Amino acid sequence: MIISICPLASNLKAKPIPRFLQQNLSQLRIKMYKLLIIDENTGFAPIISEILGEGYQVLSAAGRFDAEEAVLKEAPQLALVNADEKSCIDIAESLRKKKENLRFIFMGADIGKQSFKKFKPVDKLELPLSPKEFFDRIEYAFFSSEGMIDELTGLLKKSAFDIRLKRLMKKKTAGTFFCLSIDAYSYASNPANPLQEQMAAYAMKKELEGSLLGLSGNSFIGFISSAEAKADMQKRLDKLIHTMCEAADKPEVFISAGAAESADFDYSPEDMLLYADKGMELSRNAGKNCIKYYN
Amino acid sequence: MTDILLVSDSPANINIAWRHFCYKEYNASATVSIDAAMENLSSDKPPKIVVYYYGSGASGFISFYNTVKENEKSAKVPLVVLADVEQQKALLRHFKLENTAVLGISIDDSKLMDIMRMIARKGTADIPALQLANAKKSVRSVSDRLFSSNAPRERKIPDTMRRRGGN
Repeated sequence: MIISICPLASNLKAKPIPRFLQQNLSQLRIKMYKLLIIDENTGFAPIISEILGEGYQVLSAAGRFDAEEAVLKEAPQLALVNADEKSCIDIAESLRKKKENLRFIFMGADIGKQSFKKFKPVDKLELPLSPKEFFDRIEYAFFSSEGMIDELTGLLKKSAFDIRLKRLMKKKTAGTFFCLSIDAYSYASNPANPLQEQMAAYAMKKELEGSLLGLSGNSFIGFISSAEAKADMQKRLDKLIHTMCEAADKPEVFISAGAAESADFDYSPEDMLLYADKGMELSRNAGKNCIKYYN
Repeated sequence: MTDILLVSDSPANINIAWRHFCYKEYNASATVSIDAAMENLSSDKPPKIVVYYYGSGASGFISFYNTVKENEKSAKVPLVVLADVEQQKALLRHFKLENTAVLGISIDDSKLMDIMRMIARKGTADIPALQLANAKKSVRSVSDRLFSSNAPRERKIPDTMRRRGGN
């Protein structure tokens, strides 16, 4: 496959910034998410607080009454309850009376269907988990309760994607940004079958497991943090496009994809996504189902 | 002699933890900086065991753990956490920590020495089960103690004594 190289300035001037990239990461409203932990072990909350880090406030309650008081005073968005099923139900019932839209994560070995039906918890954690798993699951639960997850595909919306991307960039993680249009994919696929987009997302998750993936308008966006050579990355992305074409039932599906590498860190993430979007344009002009790098 | 690197979030905590390691058995060094610890761990002669003192009010263990495990060189070095009772209980029950032994801060020095010797030889594989059992014992509540089979019971007064105390 040919990797096209284009002069940067002329292309940047030519087109307006796509809508999905207009939200500047640095201008993101810093919102404090509040998590209430109800656990008789008081040593758990400080550890979770350390795991979640900045942007999160962790409140701790040893029992139902403390929890009710915390809900009234602090209005957390999410409550993590560690107890047996009966206590979970009791606590959740009394807390819902104090705050109707409070969402739950249940943690405990014997949480059954009864509590699931009644409270529809965002997640159920089966212990033990690694610190990273705790972080990912709790943050995902926050995103989910705040409507920052696309319901159809389960992918992160742009606002949630930006939060995770910002964190990766802070660590100066090297990798490849990509944009993948599902515009044409949606038209070409069978409109009577709404599962097509889901299948495309599933294919992407499978091929790029462990990468940061999101959905913005009619584009899949992603960041693959890797030390792999560009050729290997190209292979992975080519394979992804191939799998997505197969998932679309129709062989004539047209997927344009663009990528940009963060070889040095003079570029901000929004610039990199912009370049990946430019790559997508090049790919559109270049022909069917190919990925173009924007250098 | 076992090479130990002692890490904590403040010099005060290092001072508290140091008493465990001022024996001939250990060749210990200490730091409060994660960067310095990582430099030491990436050197040609890294310590055999890293100890993190996570007493009451201390913090930074999770950042340290994540940093150590993210680096290929340091990920394999056994990690020992000396935690206070509540944190020890939480770490043992809720967390899956790789190649890490969680011990209580009030551990007996000779017992700690045995464990460190074992870890230096075999790694932390045999430690968690042993420590979980100890943690469960150490965190028994007052009601547990009162109603357990080992609790002091009301002494039965022999019939003979009752007769003596009566009429």
